Amino acid sequence: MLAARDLGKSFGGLTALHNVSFDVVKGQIKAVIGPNGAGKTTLFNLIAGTLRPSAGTITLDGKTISGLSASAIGASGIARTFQQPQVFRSLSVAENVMLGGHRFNKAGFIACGLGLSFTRREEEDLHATASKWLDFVGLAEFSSRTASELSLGQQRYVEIARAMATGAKVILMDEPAAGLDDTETRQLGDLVRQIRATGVTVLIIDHHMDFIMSIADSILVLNFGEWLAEGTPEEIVGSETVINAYLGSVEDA
Amino acid sequence: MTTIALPARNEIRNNAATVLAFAAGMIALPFVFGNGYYLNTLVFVAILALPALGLSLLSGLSGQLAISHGAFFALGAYGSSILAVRLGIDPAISTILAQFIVAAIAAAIGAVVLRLRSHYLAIATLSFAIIVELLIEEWSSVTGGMQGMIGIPPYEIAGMSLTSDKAVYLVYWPITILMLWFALNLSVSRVGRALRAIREGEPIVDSLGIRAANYKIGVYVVSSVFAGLGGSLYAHFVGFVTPATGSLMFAIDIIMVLALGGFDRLWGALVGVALITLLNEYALGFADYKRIFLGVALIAVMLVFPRGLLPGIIDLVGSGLRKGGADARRA
Amino acid sequence: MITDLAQILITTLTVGSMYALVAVGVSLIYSATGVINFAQGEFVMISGMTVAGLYGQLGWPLAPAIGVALVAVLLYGALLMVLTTGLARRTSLIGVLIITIGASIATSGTAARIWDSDTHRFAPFSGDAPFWVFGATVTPQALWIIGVSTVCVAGLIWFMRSTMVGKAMRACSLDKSAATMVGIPVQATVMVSFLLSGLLGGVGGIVTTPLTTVDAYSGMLLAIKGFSAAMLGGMGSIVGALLGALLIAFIETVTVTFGSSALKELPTFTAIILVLLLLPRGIVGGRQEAGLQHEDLTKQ
Repeated sequence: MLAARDLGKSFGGLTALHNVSFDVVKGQIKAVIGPNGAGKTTLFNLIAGTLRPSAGTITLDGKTISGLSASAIGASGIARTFQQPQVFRSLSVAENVMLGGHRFNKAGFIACGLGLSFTRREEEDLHATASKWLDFVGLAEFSSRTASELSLGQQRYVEIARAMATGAKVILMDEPAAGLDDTETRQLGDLVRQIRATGVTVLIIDHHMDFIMSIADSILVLNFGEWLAEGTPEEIVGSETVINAYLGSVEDA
Repeated sequence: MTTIALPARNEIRNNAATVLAFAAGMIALPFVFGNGYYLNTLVFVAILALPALGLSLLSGLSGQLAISHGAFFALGAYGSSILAVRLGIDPAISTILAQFIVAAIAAAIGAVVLRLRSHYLAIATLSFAIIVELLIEEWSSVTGGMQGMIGIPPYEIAGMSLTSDKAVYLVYWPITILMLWFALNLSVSRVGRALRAIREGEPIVDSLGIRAANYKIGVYVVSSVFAGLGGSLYAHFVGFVTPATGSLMFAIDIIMVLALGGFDRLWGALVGVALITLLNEYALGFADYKRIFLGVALIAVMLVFPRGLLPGIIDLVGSGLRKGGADARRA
Repeated sequence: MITDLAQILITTLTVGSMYALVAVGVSLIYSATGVINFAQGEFVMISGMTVAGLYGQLGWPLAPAIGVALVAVLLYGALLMVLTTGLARRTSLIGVLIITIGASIATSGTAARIWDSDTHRFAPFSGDAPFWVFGATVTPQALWIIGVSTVCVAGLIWFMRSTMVGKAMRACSLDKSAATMVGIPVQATVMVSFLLSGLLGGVGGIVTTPLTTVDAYSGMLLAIKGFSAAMLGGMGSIVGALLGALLIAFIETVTVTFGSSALKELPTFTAIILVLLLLPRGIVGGRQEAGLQHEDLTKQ
């Protein structure tokens, strides 16, 4: 459903990504791994529209999304979480998640200013959706807390709930397990599987190999901005090119 | 501090109740205290509250500081005056038409300059304000140039001209209170939420499929119409406009209002306007003393209470009370 | 035609020199602190009014009058530094911008009480008999303005590139924490920026007042021109500020020559908006990208 063809990105003379092609199957968890500087986050920025590709195309369900604005890509069904959790710190947890579903509601400046009754119905529906997803990630009790009061780990879950509330078809998760201990990582793995169970496709970057191996249906390996290997966890573990690339780098993944 | 999870219904109801109580109080005032010069002063409070509320929406919700509210006040004042005096349109209708003009100009300017942030936005909107002031001064066949325009007709309601302070007071205050109610509703609505999110991180808002730029333009237009409406009401009350109406000093006055009342408090804007108007009226007759006072006060407030005087004092009193409470419990 | 061109050139250089002294001052303070100093024009006003009062009205000799004016702008620079950096640690950058607006209006109000609201000037340094170059009128004072500004800006560039203090200032503007780590006294460099910036404005007031006159309120418009020029050139760059000042002066001069003098600001401010949008980092590319900065008034 999500497909990249001959994707490339260079910054000035520096090539961050070169000739990368891959497909993501609907309802799968696909992991992107590779040593630092392999171009993983650049790849996410290209898919999410934060950066424009210098070459190649990205399609979602057959429609080209590369070149669209970030908000148009967001509206087309791609949501993301960030390496450093990016919650709206001064807003409540519920409000953060409500912003995920914001685009489905219609009330504009005038309707809201006049406090028309349909705006309130919309808000109640949206709040119900937000509560559902907060429940899903296990943060229901924090609903009315200010987001900045939560721990970084919890903020990451707020991001996930917010991403689910956008009704995304694909969620891009950038190092969600960074800084988590073993128990927390296992809980995160369960949550990612639950996300897959709802029919949402997950594209995930992470350095925790055990974590990736335990959840991924398919793995894409990047090295120095190029496609290195792609396959099931078993295939990747057995691949000599991958092992060589990793041994050759300082990365202790 | 925690935020209420679902603000819409409760807060709109609270807003309505508070606003109604306030409206009742303001309307009762002239009947309790009778006529007097104070009504004239309060009419100016009602008028100046509008640009202040507008800027408060813009800077408080979306975190943008524009220095163009004086210019939109002037556009509202001149727009309505020109339509009423030169084309003979009824003042009430000319006022409404003027707001459409203001909204169109704000949308055009906003679409261009709101891509800029922080002090770049401040400078771009300031440049726009200077351009408006120059056009008003120089396009004298229409605007009356440096002399301005006189003989701007007052509003008429059922054949009665609004000329007495009391009559104007009783019409203007309900309008201002309605606009306050509109602003309060907006700030707790989904639009307000999106704007507060934009203040924290526009790229993230975009990534959620929300067009942040449109919301910024929208709040700029609404905020400018608040200022424009204030300008129209002003012109039809005092009966004349000059290039000084809505000049740069006026824009600084409005920023001062927010520095006093708090940048993110809509009610605070009202308190700030009342303070400034009283000071202007009774303490600062001399323009140069006013400059000195305003300047020093701006500096002092921003140094001591960066979020504004009123929120600063509320915080101080609040922490004092909490401390007092804790001491009492310990004792 | 030649006459027109020569006149445009000489006027652009004269007006541009005046704006450059303000713009470079704005740029200096910005690169040291990130503060946009709305009160930059007050330096010019203070020194112009001081010399006009002491030399023009009270009949002091020129040199001590200039001395007093320069001391006054140095003190004012120190005051601004304390207000915008020393005391304003909790205030956001936009809040500091508001502080400098406050300083500007308070200063102009005070000046109007000390002197009056009228325009002031004093006699040009070398008389006012003009001479002609290719048919263009050149006053001796215009040459003073161009000459003194050139010396000041060139001196400043030399100072920043070749002296230890100047290098330290550049290091601080690039990375404050790194500068602190290698032992550069950051506060001292900030102080030097404000004092130099004040001196530039002060010198500007002294050389331009005989030609342009001064009044208590003339600082604010000059400041707006100055930081528009600094922004056009690219915030934080001295050469950029100079180019921005010349560009604004050129636009104004052309408008006055071929259009109306009443509307001279119109193309200027239109150009400012356009350049901000098309070249958000200024002509030479300033230190910070406009789009990346985000300010929030409601947070502490």
